[in-house]
Amino acid sequence: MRLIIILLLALSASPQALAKGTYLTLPQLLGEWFPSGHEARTLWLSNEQKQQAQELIRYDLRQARVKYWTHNGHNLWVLSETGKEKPITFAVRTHQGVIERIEVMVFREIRGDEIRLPVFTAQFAQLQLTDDGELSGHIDGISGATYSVRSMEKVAKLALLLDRWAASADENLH
Amino acid sequence: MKTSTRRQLRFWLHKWHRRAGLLAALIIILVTLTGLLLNHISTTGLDRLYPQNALILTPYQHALSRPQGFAVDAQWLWSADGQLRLGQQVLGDCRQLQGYARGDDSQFVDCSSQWLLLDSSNQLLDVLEPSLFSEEPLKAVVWSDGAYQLNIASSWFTLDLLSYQLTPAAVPVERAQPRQFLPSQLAVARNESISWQRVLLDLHSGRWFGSWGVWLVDAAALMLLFLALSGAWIWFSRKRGF
Repeated sequence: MRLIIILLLALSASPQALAKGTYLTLPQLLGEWFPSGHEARTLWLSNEQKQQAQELIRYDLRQARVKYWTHNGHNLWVLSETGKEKPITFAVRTHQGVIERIEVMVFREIRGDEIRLPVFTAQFAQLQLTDDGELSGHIDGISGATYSVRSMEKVAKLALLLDRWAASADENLH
Repeated sequence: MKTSTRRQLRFWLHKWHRRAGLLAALIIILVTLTGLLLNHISTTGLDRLYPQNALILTPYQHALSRPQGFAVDAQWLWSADGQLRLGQQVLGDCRQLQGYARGDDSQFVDCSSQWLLLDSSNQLLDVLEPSLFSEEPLKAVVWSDGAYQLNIASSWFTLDLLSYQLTPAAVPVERAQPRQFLPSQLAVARNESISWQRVLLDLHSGRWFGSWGVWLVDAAALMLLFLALSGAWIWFSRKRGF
């Protein structure tokens, strides 16, 4: 009887509602990705950089600064991008112009959360930003999650661009 | 039944069959078109679109929400169409303006799904992700003791913008700035709750026309029933030769 009730509950639970959720928090990420410590930094954006983001990767950067966390040249970017209707929050770790990891932190859409799966996010590892503003490798899409996939690609490009600017800001400091 | 009576009945039915057909035609067109659109509601996206036409919204006056905002420097800070506005100037994206506080050299804007930091000249400084701080929604924000104090889940926290952390704080003396209804010359009441899907459903069922509308659709349904029965009777009676 109990098994039947559990089965009925499992069947009645909407898979769409299950898609939403906070999958990673910032303390979790910092602990896992930077176990030996980190430094919080702010990257100030110039108007030229905002224009470059618009021209190169068609991203409308409006804010004057972006917060990021860093350790030994590895940078963590927390960026949000609208999926179909609501923003999806991503964490991207970059190092010297290359994506090391990308994860979904908060998913608010009702469907398309398949982009969280490691088999999908693994496609982004070691990708770079090409001169024409594209990712250096092909990303296989997921049917039914087109908008979410597009958001992840957009955020990956932005993180790589920010990483490039953060590196040049560091060089200017030294 | 006598043959002459049957002929008379057929003549009468024929006459009223045509009249009923004409009468029902308008309602059938309305019901058919709305039914077709309702069948494809998700692909057309009409379940996510909200009509703003005054005539279409006539029956829903109670559901129209008058825009609210915050009084800032003799102007109004408010959100519409997903954008944050100061007067009519667009400052950035804002899905739903919930809270506002002014600091010494910055301004905090709670846009529900994101928090915005503006500088004193209203330039967008930073976009903060609320879920990085708390999964509970922000209830109120005030500027007190040189920092933004946030009320989350009935407790107060100091927002540390350097470490991106919330630390428990005492209840601030300052009150959160209240949200007020905007003057009508700045923004008309907007429909943000009645979707096209609801309008189509109400047109389809007749509810859009009020209590008379439902009776009208009932009458149309009875007319259709009459058309089906009278049409069948006329057809069968002809086939049988009387």
